[in-house]
Amino acid sequence: MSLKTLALRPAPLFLLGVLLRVVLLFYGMYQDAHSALKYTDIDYLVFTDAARLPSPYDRATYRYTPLLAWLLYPTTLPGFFSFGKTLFAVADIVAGYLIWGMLRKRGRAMESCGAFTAIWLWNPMVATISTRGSSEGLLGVLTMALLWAVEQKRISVAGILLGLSVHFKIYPFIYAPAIIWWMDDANLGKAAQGEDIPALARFLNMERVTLAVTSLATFVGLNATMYLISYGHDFLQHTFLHHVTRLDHRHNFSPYNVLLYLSSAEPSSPTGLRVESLAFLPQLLLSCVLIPLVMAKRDLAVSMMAQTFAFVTFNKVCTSQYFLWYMVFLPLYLPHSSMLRNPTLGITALALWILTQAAWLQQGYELEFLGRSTFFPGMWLASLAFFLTNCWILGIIITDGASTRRAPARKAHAE
Amino acid sequence: MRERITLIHSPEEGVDPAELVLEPARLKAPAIGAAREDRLTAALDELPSHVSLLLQDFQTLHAFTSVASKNNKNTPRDAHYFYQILDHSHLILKAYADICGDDEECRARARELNDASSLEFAYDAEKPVAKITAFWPLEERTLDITSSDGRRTEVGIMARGSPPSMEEHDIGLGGITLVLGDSKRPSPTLFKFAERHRSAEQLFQATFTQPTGLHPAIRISLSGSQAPAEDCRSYAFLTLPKTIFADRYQLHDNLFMASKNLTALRHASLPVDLEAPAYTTETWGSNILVELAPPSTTQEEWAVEVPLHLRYLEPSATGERDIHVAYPVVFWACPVEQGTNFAINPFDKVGLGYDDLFDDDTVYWHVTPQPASGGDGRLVTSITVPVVDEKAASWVGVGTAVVVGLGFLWVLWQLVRAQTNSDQEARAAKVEKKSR
Repeated sequence: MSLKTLALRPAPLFLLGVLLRVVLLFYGMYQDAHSALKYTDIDYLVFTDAARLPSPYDRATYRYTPLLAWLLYPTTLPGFFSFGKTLFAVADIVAGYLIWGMLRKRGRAMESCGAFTAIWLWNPMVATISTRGSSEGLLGVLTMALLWAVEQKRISVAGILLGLSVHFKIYPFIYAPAIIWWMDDANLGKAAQGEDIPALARFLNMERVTLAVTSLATFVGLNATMYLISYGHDFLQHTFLHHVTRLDHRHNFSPYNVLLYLSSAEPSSPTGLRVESLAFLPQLLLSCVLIPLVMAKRDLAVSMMAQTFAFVTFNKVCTSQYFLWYMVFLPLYLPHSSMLRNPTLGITALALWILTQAAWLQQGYELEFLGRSTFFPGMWLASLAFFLTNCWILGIIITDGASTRRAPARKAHAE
Repeated sequence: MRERITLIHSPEEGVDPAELVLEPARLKAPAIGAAREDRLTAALDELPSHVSLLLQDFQTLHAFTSVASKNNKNTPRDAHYFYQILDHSHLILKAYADICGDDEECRARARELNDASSLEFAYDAEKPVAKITAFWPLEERTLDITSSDGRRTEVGIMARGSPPSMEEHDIGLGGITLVLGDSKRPSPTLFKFAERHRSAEQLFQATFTQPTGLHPAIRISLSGSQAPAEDCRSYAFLTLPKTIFADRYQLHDNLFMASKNLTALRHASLPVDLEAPAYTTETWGSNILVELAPPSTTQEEWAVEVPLHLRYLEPSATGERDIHVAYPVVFWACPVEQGTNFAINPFDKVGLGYDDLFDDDTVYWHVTPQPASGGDGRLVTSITVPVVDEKAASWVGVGTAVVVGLGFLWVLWQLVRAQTNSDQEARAAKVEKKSR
């Protein structure tokens, strides 16, 4: 047995994932204690400060659910500062376990499952983000758990997870239409209902109603709890309204960035209808309607990946932490991807994704650290190049996902 | 209402009391090289109604205008601060004239304030009185003052003197004082008071570390690290316009602060939004007090850095905008020597911004600011902030729309293609099924 094969067996696979995070955690503690340049992410200080306060919203720039601050309460105790980072790292590992389980269920060989799971578990970017204390890892485990619950047909569990993740970070609402659309008789493994039943009645099956009710109840219940028991308007403002009304003028990867900066500086534009007020249209049309419609029934995991990719690509603000939102789907997408079958395509896509990002980062560095006005044309063009690269990659993912044979449907026929 | 007019001349010069022309309500003095301070004190009910109505909203209001340099700064105190690069001396002059009403002598005095080098308006609701103080630098000047009814006018002509029992850091003044209309002749005066603000005989220069980027650090280079007295701590008080701010959360970690030769952030005014661009920020700006960390062994030269952050500014034709930041106030704060009473200093100045953050029994040893070499001599540091070029506007709107549109259409086309393929597949499957 080669070393590679050995490492991809479940025990070493997860052990190495854990080890990587333990090493990074301790390295982070060392750097924080000995250097003025901190390993810990600024956001982690926001969460832990918020956990200490009577209301988490007393901490400026805390824009999350109070659940997160409560979850991190132990960080306020002496000696437990790294509790949250450990929690986020554990979330990574659990997400990896769910990925591995879903790959196994697809009938893949042990070694192949290990190799694709390693893309997540051994990914230095993923491990660094969570051990630096960014909460995005929690979203990774939530979305994987949601997909797992749907695939296991544990509909109530899926509903609760969907409601919880939307409460946590809003964007997972894009998965609701995909999951609902996916839940037809064939995908649920049920016998097809007769043609005599009206289409609407056939559509509104028990499972779809259950998912809608449980997810809505969880979402509304959590929000009402947060609103009523303590934080009232602060909660609404910082957790939801802020994300809707914010003007993201600070430089980020989004193609809209320079446009938003320009228009934020002149609040009363005489042209009437502004481009950026329409920005949500292509974004939501793709991620909530068209992609689920075309892809969800064929391959739910790849549909969710494409939706997330579209949502992040067309978003009005885009930072590298958002990339984690779709990277968690990579192990489930790559096995059938043309980017893996055709290495030239795969390497070209990866190279373009990295190069356009690097071009933007270089412009960002000149602006942020050297004080050069690179907003236009350098940074603007780089963000557009990155955007077009992402659109191209999204096209590949869509083509791949839509060409997947409806495996569950075949299974239903076989029964 | 009362006014106090003080001339301070050098000990070598002086006014022969015989040369003073004292009429009951008028005093004339011959030319003398002296600095002059005028102070008008009016109770709230002596103020014109529009001024007193305005002041009712304030606990304290303190405005200071240094006219000579045209660089003015309202000195912050309590909850109400303003910081504007505006010359608002005309407001103080208008207030003075309004207080005078129909009193022509008083209005004449108000007009004299036009060429004062600094003007100060102070109101304290606890007293409640408003004070207008004007100052003229050392210059050859004559005196011709007339008092009027309802206004008590006191005049003092003094020089540095040495009353008995002078201690170190005491200032002694001696000369004559008189009250117009009351005094038949000038009465000799000799008194002393303790200096609250002293010179530490150290120098500093403030510059921004290069390159400034979007996170510039102001570097304060000092010429000595020796404390002027025992139990002193050194501080820098920064008054920042709203274009630049300090992140109070960043100035927290001990290692980070130590790496900048800082001890701690002792005060930061609120609110300070940590993200908003300058053009949507309504707060005037902010100020912070940082305690410095002088080297443990005395050094000739040392420096501290205060990390700051720029807000986004409005687009400009050049892709850049210059902002100006006033020099910080750098000083040692020390406990006062036993038995010192600052209250008897008739010229004591409070409400300078930082003094509210210390006990009343604090002595300030000031480090003398040195303007940057090659500059215009003002105590201001400037940085060039990168902003988006105005020319971008015509391209970015259309360009972004076109590119986003193209990207969207591409993805849309891929979706249509995928859907068509799967429809064909489905039809083929049906045909296959039927043909079986």
